[in-house]
Amino acid sequence: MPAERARNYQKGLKAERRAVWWLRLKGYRILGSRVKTPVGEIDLLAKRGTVLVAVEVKTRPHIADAMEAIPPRQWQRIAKALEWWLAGHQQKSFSNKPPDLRFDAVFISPGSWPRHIRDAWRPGGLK
Amino acid sequence: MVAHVTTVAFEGVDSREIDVQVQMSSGLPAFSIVGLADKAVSEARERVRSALSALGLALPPKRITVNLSPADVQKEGSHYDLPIALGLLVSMDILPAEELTHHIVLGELGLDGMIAPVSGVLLAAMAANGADKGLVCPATNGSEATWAGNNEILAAPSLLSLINHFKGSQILSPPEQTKPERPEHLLDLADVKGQESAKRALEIAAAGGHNLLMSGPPGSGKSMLAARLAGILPSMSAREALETSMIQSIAGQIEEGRLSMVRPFRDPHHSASMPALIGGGQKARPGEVSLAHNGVLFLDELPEFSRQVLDSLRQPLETGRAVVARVNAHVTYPARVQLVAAMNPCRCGHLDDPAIRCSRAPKCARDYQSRLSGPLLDRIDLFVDVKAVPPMELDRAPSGETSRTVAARVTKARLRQRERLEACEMKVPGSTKGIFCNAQADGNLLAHIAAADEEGRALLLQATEKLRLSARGYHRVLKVARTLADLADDEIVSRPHIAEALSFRRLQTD
Repeated sequence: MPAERARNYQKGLKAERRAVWWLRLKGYRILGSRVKTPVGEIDLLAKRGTVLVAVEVKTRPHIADAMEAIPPRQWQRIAKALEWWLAGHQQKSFSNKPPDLRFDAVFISPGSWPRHIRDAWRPGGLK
Repeated sequence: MVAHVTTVAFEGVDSREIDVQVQMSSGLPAFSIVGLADKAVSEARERVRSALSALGLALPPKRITVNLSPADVQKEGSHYDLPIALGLLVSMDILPAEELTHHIVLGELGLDGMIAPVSGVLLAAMAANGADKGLVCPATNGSEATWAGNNEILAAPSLLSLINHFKGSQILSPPEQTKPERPEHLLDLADVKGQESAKRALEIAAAGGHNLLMSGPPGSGKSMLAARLAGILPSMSAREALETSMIQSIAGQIEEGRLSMVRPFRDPHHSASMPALIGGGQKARPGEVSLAHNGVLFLDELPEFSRQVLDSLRQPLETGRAVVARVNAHVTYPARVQLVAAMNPCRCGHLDDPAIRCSRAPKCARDYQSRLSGPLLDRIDLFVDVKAVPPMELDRAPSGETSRTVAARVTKARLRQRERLEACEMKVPGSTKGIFCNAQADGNLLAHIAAADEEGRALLLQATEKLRLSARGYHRVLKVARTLADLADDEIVSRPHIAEALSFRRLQTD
């Protein structure tokens, strides 16, 4: 199995790079990728204006599959991780004002443009 | 910035202003409602969210907190949806804040953004009138709200139409007042054959608002007589109608915003529970005795009601108020009713007819009647025996007076009472507050309006001793005598009136 795992890892990295550029083109500043905290991991952290966005990147052969690929437990981990991260970085990047938080998703599939879902979900349930 | 919208909470027939505060702040996106809200209010979250998305609006990804202030008042009901939604729209800068500060808002939202009718709109409208504010309510309740007076009423069918109104692009027209309910075809007293003494008692009861108990074998026409009481009662004055409608409004029983000038006639089944009759339940609701406010509470088969239920009627009958005390609610509903009851003298019902009565008479009758407590019977002014109708009478064509003739006499007697009470009010202001007929008068007022002449007083005194009347019984005889004098167009209560009033007292059988 190690060979397949490594392949998946590489695929994930590639997808994240595509997502990073896609977001940059849309005017987001990427603050970090693969942000690891003790409570969870965030694929991409981006910022635009006063909004801090936690982005989850997903790769699936078909875009419809990608939409359903994120289990609710993972959402909760992302929300916790974002709060954790924010606790350490509050003042640095947001001119002393607490930022608005948003949770987005970017779906990558071969042969089509990345799809960026803004405000994809909210803690306490999907919208 | 915190957006403010005003709404009301109901406590009995009083309403209390509630400030709905909406704040949006940074942080993890969330939407929470605080301020002692019950389940229906907490569920407003989902309705509001969905109604906004029906307009193509999404809640901004911010931390949204809705506070219902004062936070220590229990809030229940679904009418908080609309104020919460409007508060959100203000804090999303879709509605101008200053437009809403002069309104009291209530309404329930559907998932599609339509505004559904709620109960208590009349009360809210009166509160708005008192606070010199406008009212925003569901379109269906619009005409109900107009009865409170001429404040600015916005009766909106949907959230979108309300937004358009405040933006000035599509002005809502004020709701129209529907005409008071016309009494539909009422049953006529002329249908009842014979039973002259019972009809007389019914007329007296209607004229003075007295409590009445009819006792007689099955099939003698007790229920028939009671059903015809509504036809001879005078219609309510505007003030009475408003009081009655307020209770119906809380109970959500006003249909199409139509107020009724006809006195309510409530006839709960004898399996009724105490909360159903007096009011209460986990959330306090008015009971039958309050829904019959200013009208008639008819209890058929009186001894079949549970004893507890009957005795719980004692206090409302005496004070005209139903006090409901619960752990999380302590409310008072007005309950000035005229009690009309019917009963059989014993279980089989044929106590007075030796030919067909059952073998257990008369012991059975004693057991049956002992289900009614003395204090309850003491509150009844008129006792009347309704005998079985003789066959000859049944064969004859109906010949009695029509309801119209009797109603005319009753109305005249009521008019005399009102004039007299108004004269008293002029002399001692405040002395006749909440009193509309003889049966409601008490204490000094009664002594003043029902002063009997020398002979009458002597007879009453003698009877009190012989019949061992209680103090309450004494006063009740006086009240009935006053009504009899009014029916006869006499200003002074004299001996014949007292004598007839005494004839309607219950005789102690043993």
